[in-house]
Formats: sequence, C-alpha cells, structure tokens
Amino acid sequence: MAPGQDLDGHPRPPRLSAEELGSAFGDVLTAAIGKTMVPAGLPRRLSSGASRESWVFEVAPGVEGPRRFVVQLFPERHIGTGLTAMSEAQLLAVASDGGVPVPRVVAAGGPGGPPGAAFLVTEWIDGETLPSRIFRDPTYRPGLAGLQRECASALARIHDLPVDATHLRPLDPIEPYRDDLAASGQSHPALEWAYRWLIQNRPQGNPPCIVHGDFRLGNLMVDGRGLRAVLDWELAHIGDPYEDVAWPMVRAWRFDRVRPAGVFPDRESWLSAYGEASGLDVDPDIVRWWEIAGTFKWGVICLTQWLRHRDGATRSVELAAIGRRVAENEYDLLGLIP
Amino acid sequence: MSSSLPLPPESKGEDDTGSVGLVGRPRADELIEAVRELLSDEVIGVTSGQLHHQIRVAINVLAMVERELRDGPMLEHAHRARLALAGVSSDSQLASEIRSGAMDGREDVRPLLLADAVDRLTLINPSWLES
Repeated sequence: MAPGQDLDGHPRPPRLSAEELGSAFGDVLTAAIGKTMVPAGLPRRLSSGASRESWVFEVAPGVEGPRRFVVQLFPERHIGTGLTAMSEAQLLAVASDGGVPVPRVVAAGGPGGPPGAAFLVTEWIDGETLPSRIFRDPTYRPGLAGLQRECASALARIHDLPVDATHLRPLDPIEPYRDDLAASGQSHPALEWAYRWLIQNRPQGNPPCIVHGDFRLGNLMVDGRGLRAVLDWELAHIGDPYEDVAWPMVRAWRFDRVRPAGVFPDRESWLSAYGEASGLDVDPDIVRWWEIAGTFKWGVICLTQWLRHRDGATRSVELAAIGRRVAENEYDLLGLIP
Repeated sequence: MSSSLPLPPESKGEDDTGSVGLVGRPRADELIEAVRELLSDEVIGVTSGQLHHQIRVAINVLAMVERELRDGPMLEHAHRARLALAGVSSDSQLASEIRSGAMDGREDVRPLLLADAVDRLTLINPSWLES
C-alpha cells in the first residue's frame, strides 16, 4: 500500500467498551491537565471512515476551561508516512506556533497508555466539515465569502513552517501510487497512460516544504465566521507546496454540485489567492501537472480502498463501491491531460 | 405468429408467455430493483448517522448493478471491438503495452481510453459525465 494509505490497512486499535474508554480518557486528561477530570456520560464515537477511532469526550462541570475533547486512537503499527500520535502532536504544535488554525493539543501518548492504543487528545472545535452542510445550511453562509482567502492564508502558513522542526519525511507524489497500481494486479490502461504522461512531463519542483497532504473540503472545520481549523494531518510530509494547492481542485474534492460559485476551491481565483498569500508566482501549467498527479493518486487510492474490502481487512459496501470510482478519475485524467 | 414457434434468442427473458431463459422472470435486474426500492422506500427513512450513509451507498450500488445487468453486455461488446481495432486482446495487454512505451506515439490510444471511460461511467455513475 502507498505510504499515504498504510494506516488504513492496519489492525484497528484494541476495542475497549465506551465505559472503559471513558474512564481511560478521564485518567489521561487528569494527568495532562493536573486536575481531576470526571467523565460526563460516555464518550461518543464519531462517524469517521478513517483508520483511527475518533471519540468525543466530555468532562463534568467544576473545572475551568474547555470540557469537550476529541480523542483519536491510533492503529497498532505504523509504516510509511502515517504519523504517530507523538509526531502529529508535535506537528500540530509547530503549526499552531506558525499561525495555522489547528485544534489545540491537550495530550498525546504512545501505545502503552490507559486507552490501550496510542492516542491524541485535542480540544473540541465547534463547526462543520461536511461540504453539503457547509454550502447548503444558511448558518455557514456568512463565512463563505472569505473562505477562499482564509484557506489560502492557512495553506501559505503551513508551507512556511520550519521544515526541520518536525520528523516529517519526503514523499514522492506519484511513485508510491504507481507501486500500488502495479501491486494491485488490476489492469487500468488509462491510469498507466496518465502515469506515463506524468513521468514524461514532470515539472521542476519548488523548494521542499511541509505539505499537509490532504488539504481539502471535508478536512476543514468551518463555521458561520469562516475557517476555524485545518484538520486531519495524518498524511503530512515534506514535499512541493503545489501538491497542496492542486489537491482541493481535484474533482472529487471540489463538490461542484453543492458548492456555490466563487467559493473555495474556485478554479479561477484559488491560485491567485494562494499566490497572494504565499508570495509565490504561481504557474497554472505546473499546478495543472499537480492536479493530474492528484487525480491519478486518488484513482489509485479508490482501487486500494476496494482491495481493503476484497482482502477482508475491512468489509464494507462503501469501500467496495469506491473501487468503481476509479472510472471517474480515469475520465477526468483524459480530460485534464493536454 | 403461433405461440408454439421458438422465440428468437434476443427475446429470452423478455417474453411473458412462459418461454423464457433458465431462471426466467423476474430477471436479476428486476430483483435488484425490488431490493433497491425496499431500501429507498422503507429502510433509509428509519436510519440515521453512519447506517443512513451506508444505506445510501447501498442504494447507489444496486442502481449501478441494475444498469450493468441491462446495458453491460452491449457496452462490453463495444469495448472488445475497440481493443481488437487497436490490435490488443485485453485490458491487461493494453495496460502493459502502455507501461512499456510500446504505445507511445499511437494517436488511437487516447480516443480508445476515452470511449472506454465514458462507457464505464455510463454504467457506474452517469452523473459524472454531465459537467
């Protein structure tokens, strides 16, 4: 599997009951904050398709400060670039220092801790991540106009973070996915054709920087005022800033059916907003290469998602169905490649 | 026409005189349609959260399978004909020839891939072709 995907293929964290988790989270928070934190009811599992288990956990009144937290439990093993709880905590701290809106880290720990898995606890942030709700619910309308500028500013700040301050590693944008395609044993001539074009037309890169790796609608917390936080940092790595610039423009992440005109990521103005925020002279032709690379990558990820179902790692009609979405990316690639 | 005459092969399964294929009516696509209607008319409305989402995915999957059962054989035939025209016998041969560079400079490859992609989406997700 590609480094970006390997988290998903791993055994799930040991499953504790909600009662056991609530008690464990209470202990973790008490140790982190230095005051006794009593669980208020049971933690609630967030519906997230990712490999990590995410829980919302509340503590009883009586302590100052935030009382609602998100706890993520990490899979047992880590290979490739999937961040460990400790390195993600460190990255979030670096990002926060750099002015990127991120959830505040409360505690993080390795697999030996009370929840029985490596964990990351962050403060709860009110808002919405689902694009259909962000674009259709009038609550969020006042924040939409400035969303593009805020996203550009947040992304430019991410790319300006000190590269040496984290343990992130470089990740090639296409080779791991080419390897996955080859290893899948499936024949996808259009993906082979796109890969061939990508290697024959690879542009000169920008100086390496910290890349978020999954900067797109769905991973951005938005409320009525606009962008609240950039979430889901598990695919962060060292790479080219254009990878992040192009990724939200990949059709799967544009949500064209629900997104109002001009709102992030609006093809016409997103590049200039990012250019303004970053000071880079953005070359649309080079970003196009990255959009093609992103579409190729997502096509291969669709394929590997279905393999997770086929091979029994996670049986799910959703993962099986995603396997058919390879075709959407093949069609888009044929339209995108000049 | 007398009902005792054999039906032409393309009428198999389409006829309601009782002279049908091995399993007859309802056809597989008609059964899938019935299950899909159960999910969309009776089940999805009483679900919420993650299960609601999964049922919606399941409804889409069944609609996809219905299209595949009805139109798949015809589009598969066209796909085979395109491969033959390009001088390859299978998708895997085409993929490996593209990979090796043997198809570099062949101007007929891109139109073939596009026609395949359009037909595949016609079965899988026709709405993707709209914009």
